[in-house]
Amino acid sequence: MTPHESTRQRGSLRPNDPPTLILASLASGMKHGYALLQDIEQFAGVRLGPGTLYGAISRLEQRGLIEPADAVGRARPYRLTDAGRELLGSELASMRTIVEVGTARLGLARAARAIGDPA
Amino acid sequence: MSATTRHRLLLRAFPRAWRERYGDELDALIARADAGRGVRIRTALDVVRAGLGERLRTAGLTGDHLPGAQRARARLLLVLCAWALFVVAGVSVQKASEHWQRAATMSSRRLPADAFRALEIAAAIGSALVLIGVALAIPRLVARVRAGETTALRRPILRALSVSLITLAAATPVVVWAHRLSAVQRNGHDTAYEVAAGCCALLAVLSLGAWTAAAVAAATQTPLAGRLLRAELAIAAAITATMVSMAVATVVWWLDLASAAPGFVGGGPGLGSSLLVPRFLVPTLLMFVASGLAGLGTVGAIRAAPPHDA
Repeated sequence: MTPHESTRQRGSLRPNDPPTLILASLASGMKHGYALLQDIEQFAGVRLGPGTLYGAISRLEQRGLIEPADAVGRARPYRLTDAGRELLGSELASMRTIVEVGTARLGLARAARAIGDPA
Repeated sequence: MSATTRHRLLLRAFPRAWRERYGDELDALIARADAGRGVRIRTALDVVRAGLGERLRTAGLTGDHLPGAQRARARLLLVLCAWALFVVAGVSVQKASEHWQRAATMSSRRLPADAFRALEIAAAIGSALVLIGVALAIPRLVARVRAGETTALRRPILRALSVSLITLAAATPVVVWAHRLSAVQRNGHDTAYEVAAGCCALLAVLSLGAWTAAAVAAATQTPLAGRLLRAELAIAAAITATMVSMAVATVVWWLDLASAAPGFVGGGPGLGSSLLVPRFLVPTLLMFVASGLAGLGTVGAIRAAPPHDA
């Protein structure tokens, strides 16, 4: 199975979806629900609700992208699995490509406008 | 109501299996996120929305985590539930339309009569299709029962039987009572009878709901694939077509009757006010909602079915 086939089977991610935000947050180490909410609000400016967060956590766990660690009281931390790390890496790479191409083209368009060329 | 009770109620939006795995963690998170302020409306809405989403996903109505045949079956069951909803609306229209021919003059009766006839024919075809769809799946269900793999069926079937028996026990004296009343008394001039008949109607709706739930439980235990799945897909598409036809026929009948015999439809002078009469408006809207759900179920089932089954 090629990495691309493996990624397809695990599903794809969209930039501002809760699963992407959770994987990106867990990339810096395991966190429980409340820590995830705070971290995501801090780095993405997105305030997830508890239900949305846990809905996404359960789907990510079912897809084998994250796994639970030992509970601390009633809170249970989660961490990335190898598959989750791989999927996040490949999705971030494709997002980076889009960002770079878009930024470059926007830069070219601005330069063209600055010299009065409509192209 | 204590915070713990509120949290428990909110968590019931999620399926039981999900609650057993994640409920305690989510409960702790809600308590911490809304610390000292009780449960905020925003949090409550978020939890309920996520819970209902999880229920739809678990049922196979959203997401692609289940095999194609199972997703197709879940969406076919949506058509069955939509049909049950449509039956409730259809019976309401049937009750509201009693003796409509007497209200319209012979010359103004043709178009509504044609529309009403179309409605009755489509209802007969739709009912027959539902029965055929159920009958086709029964041999596979029987095979599962014989193999002892359907213990989860007993509870919904017992519940449906109980509700039906209660409905029958309640309806029998009301029917006897109705035969002793005049047509005028039966149609809104005897409050006690109206209340009793309303309670019976509610029980009948509950019976229909209970049997639909039992049918869903049975179908969930019945594997659908190959020719059977293809046949059920075709039947679902035809049922959806009959539902749309009935909804459209009802609107045509109602609109024409509202202009030909506004006194029968009620709601005061003018076509506009006749169209806002709840006894026609509510069931007609319900018919379109049910048709829409059936359409979603059919399209979803065809898309979800494995390519060689679609």
